[in-house]
Amino acid sequence: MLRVLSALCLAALLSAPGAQAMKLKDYHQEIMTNEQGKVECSACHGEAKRKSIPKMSACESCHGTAAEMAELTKRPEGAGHSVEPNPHDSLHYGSDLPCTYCHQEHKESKVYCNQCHEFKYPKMKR
Amino acid sequence: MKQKDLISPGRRQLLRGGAAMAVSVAGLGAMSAQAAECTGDKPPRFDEIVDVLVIGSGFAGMSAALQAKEAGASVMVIDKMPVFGGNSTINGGAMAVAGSKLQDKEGIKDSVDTMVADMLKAGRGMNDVEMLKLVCNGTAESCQWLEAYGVEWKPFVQHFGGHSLPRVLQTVQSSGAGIIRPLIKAAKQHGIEMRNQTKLESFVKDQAGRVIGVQVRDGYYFPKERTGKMRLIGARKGVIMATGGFSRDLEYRQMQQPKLNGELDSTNHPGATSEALKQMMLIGANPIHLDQIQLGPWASPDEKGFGTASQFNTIATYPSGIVVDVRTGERFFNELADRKARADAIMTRRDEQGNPVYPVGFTNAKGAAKAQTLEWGMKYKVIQKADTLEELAALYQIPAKALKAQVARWNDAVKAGEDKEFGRPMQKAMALEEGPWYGVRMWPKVHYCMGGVKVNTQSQVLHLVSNEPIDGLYAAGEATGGIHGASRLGACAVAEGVVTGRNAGRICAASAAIELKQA
Repeated sequence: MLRVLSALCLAALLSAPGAQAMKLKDYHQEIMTNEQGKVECSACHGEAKRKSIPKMSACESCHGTAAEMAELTKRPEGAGHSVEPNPHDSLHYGSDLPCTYCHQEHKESKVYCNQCHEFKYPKMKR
Repeated sequence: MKQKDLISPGRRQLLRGGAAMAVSVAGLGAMSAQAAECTGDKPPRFDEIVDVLVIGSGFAGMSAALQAKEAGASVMVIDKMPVFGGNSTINGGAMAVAGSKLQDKEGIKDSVDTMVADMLKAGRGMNDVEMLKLVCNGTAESCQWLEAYGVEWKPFVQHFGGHSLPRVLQTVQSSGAGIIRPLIKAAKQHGIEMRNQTKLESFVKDQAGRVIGVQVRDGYYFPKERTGKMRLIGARKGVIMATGGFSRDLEYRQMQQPKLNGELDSTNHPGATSEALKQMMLIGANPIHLDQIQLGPWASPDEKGFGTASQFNTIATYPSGIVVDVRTGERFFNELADRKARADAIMTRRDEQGNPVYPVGFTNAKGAAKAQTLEWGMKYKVIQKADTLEELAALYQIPAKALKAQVARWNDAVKAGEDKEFGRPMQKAMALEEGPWYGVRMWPKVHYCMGGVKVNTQSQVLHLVSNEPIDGLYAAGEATGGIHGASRLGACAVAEGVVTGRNAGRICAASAAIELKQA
């Protein structure tokens, strides 16, 4: 058993230089993987070096503009305090906040607003 | 259909192209040598050049930018944060105005001199009187200037602590966002370059010592210090520092006031740190009153930051309710005193081990009628509701009999029109006759830096040694020091930011331009 485990670890070490070791969200895994089974880092990072933080435009090219995103998470007309605020159209920031300040691909996502607030967004993929 | 099929090859191609484009930033050459102490023979070449460069996008920065633009200057605003507006867009949106139309409507006789006197009293006489007059004198006109950019006020005047009469206007949103968002919209419409994630690293000076631009990190990802590409931005007319205070800079604020340690929360956004101030000091700016750091006396320990309680207490508990020590059920300070007096009073409530014994502020439904954050505060259990005073007492473990006796004494004082115990102004005082009651636990949070760089009435930053202006360098808003002295009155930061920001923008735009070279 131990031998199998260490063999697995060794295999993981050998086959995981750089990008392959980075965890991806499962819903991105398939889209970001090319025909050779390799994750295409450039899909988000472009030609920039590793560890660079993708620009908002990288997210927008698949997910649509910030305004379109805000429309998707719009609150119902006349919603009261029982409905959480639209995370993509904030009273304070409009739709200015770059995606990556909440949505993080290689680690757990977080809610920027919750530096002050306690909003609950159960549908947010962490 | 699988997710993958939803994305067309064209879109993926576009994605790659877009990302590739995003990283192609102009090369910089031997740039670091040109920063700050640029006294070499070769004049620096800038990646971009504007007339007026504004650092910071709060009240002061946005007001400076628009005013400079109105005067015909080309303007760029940079902000290190991912979003614009700094503290301003998360503040309460309240502005003190001497001589507003709303005061006229309510028959309140106010004057610039009265406002100056109120702020001097709160400032314990430490204020820079010339700057103070400039601010107060500019409030009424600046209020109209904001309205012209689409700012909307609630249709009534409020009485905030430390002011001798009601003079506070507040945006309908109960947030500074009601000022910042319209100003950002106008800035974009009028062709002002708005750059987020762009952090000031250092100043660029010419051989004569004039500030001619800045070195920035372009694409900076707060708070990762080494992110972003170094670039040089030139300013033909000047650089306006609207970089706020350092309430969230734990290390630097404790150097000034060791007691303001990590146990105290702050109402500020995480970017309220001291780097910009330090860069100004490095080129000779004169720091004034840096140890004068204000605590907000309306905050609650039961939530983070400014939260829901701060709004609730300023509009409901303080003007229309009372605050009691939970051990005695009795009031212990003037709830409409200035912020320093109130924060100091609250922080005397401690047990024998020195731990806080949070006082409770409360009012009733009538007193809370205008509190927009009431429902939100109750949702997060920061504000709690009780149908009777007995229930309220039980909720917070206050002796019920003593609490009821205190309410009765308060009601007598309201009827008499005089608070003999603590001298609270009674113009808008209200008897607390019936429930339901709304209570909130209170403890101050670090809120505002009265200190900053010394400026003259032309908003020029003055040199520490010569006391003469540092050419090309202006500052406005919280980044400056001395206007408020020992304690800033509520709603006077918006007033200060807008008035001094416009002052800096107007004067900088009217100054002579120098010639700069593009890279």
